[in-house]
Amino acid sequence: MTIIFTEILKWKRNKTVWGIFILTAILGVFAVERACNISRSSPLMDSFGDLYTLAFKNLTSLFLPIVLGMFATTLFFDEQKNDTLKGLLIIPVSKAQLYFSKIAVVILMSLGLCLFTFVICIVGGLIAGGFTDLNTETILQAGLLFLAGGALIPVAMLPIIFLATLSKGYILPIGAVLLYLVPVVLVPSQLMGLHPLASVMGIYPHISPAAIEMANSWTGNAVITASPMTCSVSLLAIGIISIIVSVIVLQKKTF
Amino acid sequence: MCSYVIETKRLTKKYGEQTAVNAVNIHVEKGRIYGLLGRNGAGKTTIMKMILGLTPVTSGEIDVLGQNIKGREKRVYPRIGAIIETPGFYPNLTGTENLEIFAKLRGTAAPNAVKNALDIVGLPYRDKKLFSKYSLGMKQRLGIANAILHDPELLILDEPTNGLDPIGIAVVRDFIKDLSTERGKTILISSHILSEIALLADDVGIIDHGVLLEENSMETLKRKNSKYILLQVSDIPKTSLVLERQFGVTDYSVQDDHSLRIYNTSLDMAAVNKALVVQDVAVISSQLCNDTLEDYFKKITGGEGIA
Ligand SMILES: Nc1ncnc2c1ncn2[C@@H]1O[C@H](COP(=O)(O)OP(=O)(O)OP(=O)(O)O)[C@@H](O)[C@H]1O
Ligand SMILES: [Mg+2]
Repeated sequence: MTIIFTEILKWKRNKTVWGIFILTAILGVFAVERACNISRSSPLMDSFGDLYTLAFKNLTSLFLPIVLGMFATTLFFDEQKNDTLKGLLIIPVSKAQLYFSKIAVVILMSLGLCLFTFVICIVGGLIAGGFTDLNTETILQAGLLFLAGGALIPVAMLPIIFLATLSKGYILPIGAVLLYLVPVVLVPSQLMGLHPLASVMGIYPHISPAAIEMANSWTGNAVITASPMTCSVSLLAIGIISIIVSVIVLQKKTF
Repeated sequence: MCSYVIETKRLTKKYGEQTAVNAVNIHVEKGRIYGLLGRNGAGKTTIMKMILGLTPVTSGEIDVLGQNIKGREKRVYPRIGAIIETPGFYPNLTGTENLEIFAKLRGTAAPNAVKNALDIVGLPYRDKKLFSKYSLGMKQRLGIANAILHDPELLILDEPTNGLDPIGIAVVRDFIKDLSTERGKTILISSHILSEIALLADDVGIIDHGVLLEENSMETLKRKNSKYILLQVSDIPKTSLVLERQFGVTDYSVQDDHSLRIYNTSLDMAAVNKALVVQDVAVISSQLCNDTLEDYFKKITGGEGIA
């Protein structure tokens, strides 16, 4: 616990964190702005579900994976760049402890951004007005979807975080994030159950009813063959393998 | 049976083909300051890194605080404080915030440990200045503060005065001495500056190209290299008798079968020569020698020596 807490302390006065939150706010505001401009009679924006899934899509389809990939890279690389690693190791803090605390921080960051967008959606829904279904039930559904996205996307990013622990610079992991995203953007439905980020998309429709519509627009109405079970198992398996490989590689690495 | 705080046995480190540390046996005694002296690239940092588990050992063993370090890192490292090369801290935090992070992670530090440590090295507590704006000397001081934060029994300091101005060096030297004499800490310190080690260390290990060339107490080393009269004679026992009985000289050492060193340089050598001749001892030569530690260091490393 202490080590996770100190991980957060290390981010004090860091401009990157502010930048990330500001960009997230802008993305959320975009969705709210659409809600204000589209009539409630249009099927695009006739329910609160339309608003929150739009905001969710804006946040999680590209932005969140990229941000988390870069954030994780900085977390690991800065410890090397600032030469603080040797100071931590002789305390001693083990490399595995350090790895897990950094993963925890990535998950917290992800949950934080999702929660932030969630709040923007509720406030935005009230401001835009006219949502007859804006009630506790739909808010709860939205909350669950954001929670799922916030928790699952970091898991889907574990293979990239593995590269972040391995590399000696920013370029490799950031390039890898982009390459990682390309297939998911091109053929999301076929990759569900194979590619972690696609698998996460395969899980959303089973969390919130409004997410079914969202998933359909994502995949261009393609039939999703992979079951949510397959998606979850595959996501988890790839995540665990990434964790094991990361910890082993970190142990081997000398500085 | 062994009272060493650090003992290495044929400690060796290879980086690929290059042997950075070659079968080194160092012995650091409790409560003393051990100076590891060597030129750039001699292997000082590598030895310290191996003791602290920051780099794997190629072969050999390390005992720290009475136990073999392998597998006991979790128990041994909390009792050590260290700086290796230049200390690393988080640039976006102040010195106090940085130390607080390390104090939290250690968990063992006393409540006002951060303030105390900063006081000792002469840095302000709760100052607004970020680490990224620190001067080299301030960074080094913060590193020392971090090393003493948890009141460890053993300090491993790799060139702790690097980058400090002469006054800063004197300050740091004084409190390192205090830590040892007043608080009984054992200290392993490395330097490439002979005069620093000479002022500070109780014991010295001289290392060159990864090989420990000599390990001795500073006292012995200084004695070996102070002013002395080198006397070469045909008969050592008789000479000893003459020196002790007729001149009251006890401060001398026998080098080999034909030579001895007299450390009292004000001795009337003409009188000694005469007395020896009377005793039928042939005086082959008698000369005043004035080796400095630096000359000695040059001699044993076979190089140009160090400042
Ligand atoms: N990570 C590394 N990889 C390869 N060689 C290394 C590495 N670290 C040190 N060396 C080599 O090991 C030798 C000893 O280096 P070390 O840093 O221990 O010297 P040092 O005595 O601390 O020198 P200095 O006074 O410059 O700090 C050097 O020849 C160096 O080039
Ligand atoms: Mg060094």
